[in-house]
Amino acid sequence: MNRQTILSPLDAALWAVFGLVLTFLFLPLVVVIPISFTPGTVIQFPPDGLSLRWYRDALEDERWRQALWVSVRLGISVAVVTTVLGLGAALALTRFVSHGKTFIRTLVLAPLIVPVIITSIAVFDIFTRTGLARTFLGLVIAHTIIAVPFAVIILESALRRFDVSLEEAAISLGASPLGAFCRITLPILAPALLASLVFSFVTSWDEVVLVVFLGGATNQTLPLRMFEFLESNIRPTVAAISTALILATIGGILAYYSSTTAVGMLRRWRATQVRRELQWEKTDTTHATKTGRNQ
Amino acid sequence: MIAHVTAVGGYLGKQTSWLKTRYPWLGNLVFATLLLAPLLLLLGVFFFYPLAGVAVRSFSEPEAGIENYTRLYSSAVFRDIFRATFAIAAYTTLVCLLLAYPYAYRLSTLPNRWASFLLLLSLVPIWTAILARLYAWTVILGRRGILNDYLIQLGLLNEPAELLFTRTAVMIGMVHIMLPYMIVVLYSTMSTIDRTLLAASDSLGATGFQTFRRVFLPLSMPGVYAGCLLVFIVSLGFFVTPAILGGGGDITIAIYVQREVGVLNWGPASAMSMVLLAVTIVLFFLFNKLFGTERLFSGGIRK
Repeated sequence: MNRQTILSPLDAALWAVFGLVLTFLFLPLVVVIPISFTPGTVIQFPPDGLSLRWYRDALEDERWRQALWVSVRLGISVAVVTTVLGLGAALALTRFVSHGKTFIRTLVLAPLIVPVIITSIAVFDIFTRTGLARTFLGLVIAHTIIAVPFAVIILESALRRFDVSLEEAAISLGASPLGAFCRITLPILAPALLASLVFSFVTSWDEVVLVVFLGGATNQTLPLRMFEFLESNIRPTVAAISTALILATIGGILAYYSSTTAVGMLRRWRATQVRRELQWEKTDTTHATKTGRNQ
Repeated sequence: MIAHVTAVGGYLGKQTSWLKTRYPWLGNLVFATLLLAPLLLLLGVFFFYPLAGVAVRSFSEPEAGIENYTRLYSSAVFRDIFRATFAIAAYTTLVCLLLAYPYAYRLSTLPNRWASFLLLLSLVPIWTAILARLYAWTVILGRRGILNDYLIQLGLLNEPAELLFTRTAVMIGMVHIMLPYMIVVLYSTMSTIDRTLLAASDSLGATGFQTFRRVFLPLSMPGVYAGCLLVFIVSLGFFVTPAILGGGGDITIAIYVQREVGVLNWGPASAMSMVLLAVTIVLFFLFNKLFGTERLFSGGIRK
């Protein structure tokens, strides 16, 4: 008791710092959302009215719509390509590579360590020579390079936790290696695969530096359009776009958590089913042996 | 049916088993190559090869020699660029540490359920679009922005202060981006500290402050080093934040490189990139030696 009374001013100070830091972290979000509903061209906080004017402004502009479409397509392509390549590498690293694991891992993780600005000029250089600059395929390749380390980290750690004897059991029960992989390993890896897809998508979705070099007028992603817009003016159109992005992000996080819980629930449901079946069999057999002994 | 399949499988296994006994590594090698080739090819052609090209260019353009590097050393312009970049990164790291340490400490003293919820909450900014956040800062810090408005209304200022397009603005933006990472690293170290040690120190008559100074602080130092190195390394390469919030006032390495490559002045830009790359790699290896990178991604639990 005594100690608590001594500590309480310090405790209060800690809570104060805690509150301030949390406020600081959320300040941009708290500011952007109301501003997006500003009725006039002058930014005021809090705004003196409510209007969807800037949302209409963004939606009616062909260039914003096109940028959104490019970003969505790009994000999905990068997520799929990255996860497929990452799964291959993770499998090789956990199962088939015995020597030089650290070396290969270093190669794969290198894009994470090299500052993106340097990756950008290197990729820009090779793309201008090969004609990939300002193409959609070029953007997919560039974003895959910087997203793939995350995918490999996520999938390798999941594969390392995976119990190979489950696969072996399936094979010994007559499944082909590929069948066992598809029907046992992949479903168990589902959460990691989902995490890899989400991570790669977000990496591409929020990437600015590479697209500044590689995106042209035809392949302008949403972040690139925002970047160029912000360099010249601060009209609330960007606030509307930002709010939409923030809401989409929160929606994405919620969807991710609900889907992982859904996967978990599905699995638990399946487990209870199997257990029930096994129990039936068990009661059947115990019944049979009992009757057998009695006879 | 199953017996049939196993029989066939066994037969096939026997037929190919000589391959396995003779070259046991062959299967693994084939699989490893097939699985790794696409990724390594992609990285080789579009990442490592052009990266080597940048390294070559730093020595070959505009003319062969090490002139690009000697100019980096002798020119006052380049010295200013280096000084700005390192100063911004160092201050960002320091501010992040000063804000994140008490925050993470508070988190680590809370019951588990609350701590994980609040930790998740403090990670929300990571998932928020970077340009949305930068836009918010331009609105808050601008000459006719929210902060100036309030300060004038409150009578603390007579005329709007220049906040946006200063080094302070750049650092506010960078601290906001890096703070969640610092919090995660610090919290992951602090949450593994054995609480019974604190109780022991307490029962042996130490004051709260002594327990913190002599038990908790030393045990949390690995997290402090790891977090600081991580934040510093990432901060050195920032491009978008200084470009938007700095307004061309401070030229960092990344901004200089982007500008010079934009006008195809590859020589000095490549040399500067190589210096930045070398510093990053050295710091990263230090980080790896001290903490191991895997720890960062496995939720920070040190085994």
